[in-house]
Amino acid sequence: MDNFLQLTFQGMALGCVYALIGLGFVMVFKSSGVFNFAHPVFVMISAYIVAALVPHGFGWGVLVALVCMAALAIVCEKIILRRLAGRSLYVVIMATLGLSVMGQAVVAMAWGVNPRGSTEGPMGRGVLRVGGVALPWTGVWIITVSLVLLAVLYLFFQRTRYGLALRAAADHHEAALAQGINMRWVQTISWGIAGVLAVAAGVFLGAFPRRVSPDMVDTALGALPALVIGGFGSLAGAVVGGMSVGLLLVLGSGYLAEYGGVHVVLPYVAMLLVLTLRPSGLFGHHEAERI
Amino acid sequence: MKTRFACISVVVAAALVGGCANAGTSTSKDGVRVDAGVTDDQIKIGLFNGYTGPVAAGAIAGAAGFDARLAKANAAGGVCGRKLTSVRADTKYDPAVAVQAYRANVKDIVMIGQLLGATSIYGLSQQIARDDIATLAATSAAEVIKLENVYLFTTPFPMYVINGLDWAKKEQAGSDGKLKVGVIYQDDAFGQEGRNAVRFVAKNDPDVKVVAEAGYDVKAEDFTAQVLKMKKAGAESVWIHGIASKTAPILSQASQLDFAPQWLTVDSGYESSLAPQLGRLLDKLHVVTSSVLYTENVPAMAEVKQNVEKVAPGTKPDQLVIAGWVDASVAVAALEKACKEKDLTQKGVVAAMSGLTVTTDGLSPDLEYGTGDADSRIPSRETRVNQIDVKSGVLAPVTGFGTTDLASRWKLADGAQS
Repeated sequence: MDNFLQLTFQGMALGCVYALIGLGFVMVFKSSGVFNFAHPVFVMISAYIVAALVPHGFGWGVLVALVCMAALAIVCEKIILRRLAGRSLYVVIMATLGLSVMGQAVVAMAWGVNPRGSTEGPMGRGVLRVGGVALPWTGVWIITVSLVLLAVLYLFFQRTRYGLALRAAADHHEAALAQGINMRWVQTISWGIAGVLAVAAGVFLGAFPRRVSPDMVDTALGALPALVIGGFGSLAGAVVGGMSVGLLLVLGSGYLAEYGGVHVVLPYVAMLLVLTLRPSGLFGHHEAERI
Repeated sequence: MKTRFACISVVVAAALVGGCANAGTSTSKDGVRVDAGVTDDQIKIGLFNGYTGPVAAGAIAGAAGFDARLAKANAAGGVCGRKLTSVRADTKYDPAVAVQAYRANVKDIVMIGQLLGATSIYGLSQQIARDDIATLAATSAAEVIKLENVYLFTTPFPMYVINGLDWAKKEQAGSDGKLKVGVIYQDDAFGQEGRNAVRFVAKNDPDVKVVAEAGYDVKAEDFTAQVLKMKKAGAESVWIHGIASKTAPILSQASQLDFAPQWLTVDSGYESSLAPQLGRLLDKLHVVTSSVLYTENVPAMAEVKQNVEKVAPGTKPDQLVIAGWVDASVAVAALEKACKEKDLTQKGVVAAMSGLTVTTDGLSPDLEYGTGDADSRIPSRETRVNQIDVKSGVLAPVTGFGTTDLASRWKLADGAQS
């Protein structure tokens, strides 16, 4: 039983990181209809900034990263993606892929290609013991902060005018415009929030026992099955999908490792199942079109 | 119309003649048979490596070491009176790009001095066999020795495991002299080769028992399952066969889960940059290597550093510089032997590799390439064990280079058994 609980806790911690990354994708997708392939790079850059500034204080590192990433995300949206409005989906996807490649090259030039430190900070390396289960403080932090962030996001969307505007814009662009909602402003805010979520994900992905490295981009892309499982346009779906992927990966490696690499493909098997049975994802909704 | 046809014919014929001239064999004025990559005053060697991409730092360091060794040879007059030159082609650590690099350069080099990445090596193996071009593989994977015309310039990985576990048995076994071993391995050809070597030891040494095996995907982010498996099985020593970026989380998560065995890994499973993160956890990690350290004071090291400064000023101390130097030592020795045989063709260099002995001046065990089957081409079976200085992260040898009886008996067929 301890074994199961231990694996479940680790799976939840990993799942929360995927959920944060997934939320970043969803925020941008809902507001501007763009699948931002550069988001994993935002996650990596955040981690590098925090790791570089940790010697001067973890708080400073996070603060600087928050400002930088929110600014970077908004600049990308304003300078590049807004100019592509009305262009084909292919052009927009290529633009975000281009941003991703550029971001990786900039990181390689600035910090080199080797792993670089950690974003550990106050999370520490200790463990909290509950019965026979060791809960690493990093995992406790990840789950706690993720829950707090989710609660804040929920309150923002449900209880504030700005949140209402974002929801309206996500539900129906034209209707939102007709109501006088400033779509440019909505998109700027969404990209900014995605930048903030990238910092949270980057900090947790680069914290002990992991390290900050260029591989983080690949890891962040691991959130893609989570998005499909949860449903592309759904914030709740991103959370449930992220948790599902984390749990499947860790529990799978604990109980199914004997059967070759089957645990590695479990998230993708789940993704295919969802696509087959409910193509819009567990929390997504199918949009009917009048023809 | 006729004029146009004639022009096209001339151009095609010229291209064909040019192509043949490039690849065709001729005899130079000094009586040496030559073909691709060799002129009267120059010999070109291809270095196909990931100069950009995930392994860029190591690739650049390896090439610097290679060029430094060529500079030493050139200062002594080159080979056959010809200056040695490296031709670098960036594979971006991508097998598809490696194939392009190969095709673009194979007609312009006498041998491949460096080809990095097991996938690229396997991807090109048929062409390398068909083109009869000697290829020095920048890997320690034993399986590539089976490939035609492909040679290692280091001790293969299974020897690291066999020699390392023999040392662990003597140093870390309980009072009954028996050692319970676990293995955590990267679940691909590289990691499975290490796991199979652990199984080979357990099968042949009654004092070593494998109590747990756990594979992980190279993109894995959590190692709880693997660590718990080792802990539950009571492993006293755990062999990690993977890349350095995964050693850190494995050791870290083990410490969080109160599991503190002795750890052993291959040289590619450790890098000094792990020290700040792992700190005292490194006390229990030993690293098996097959070359000396850049910081060591062996006689040849001064020469290495001096030539590296000449060809690549400002190169940071890196273990792969030495690997590159040893690699080039093999290339130079092969070319010198081919020169003596008056055959500096691509085929001639392949022939020279057979029965070649290379002295590395103490930078690594000396290398010997036999004339018989693939097993005879295992260049060395020697390794040594190192501990880690926790503050600097630098390795410090606890044994000299050597091999065990079991390692001497190991054959490539043993590596294929699982």
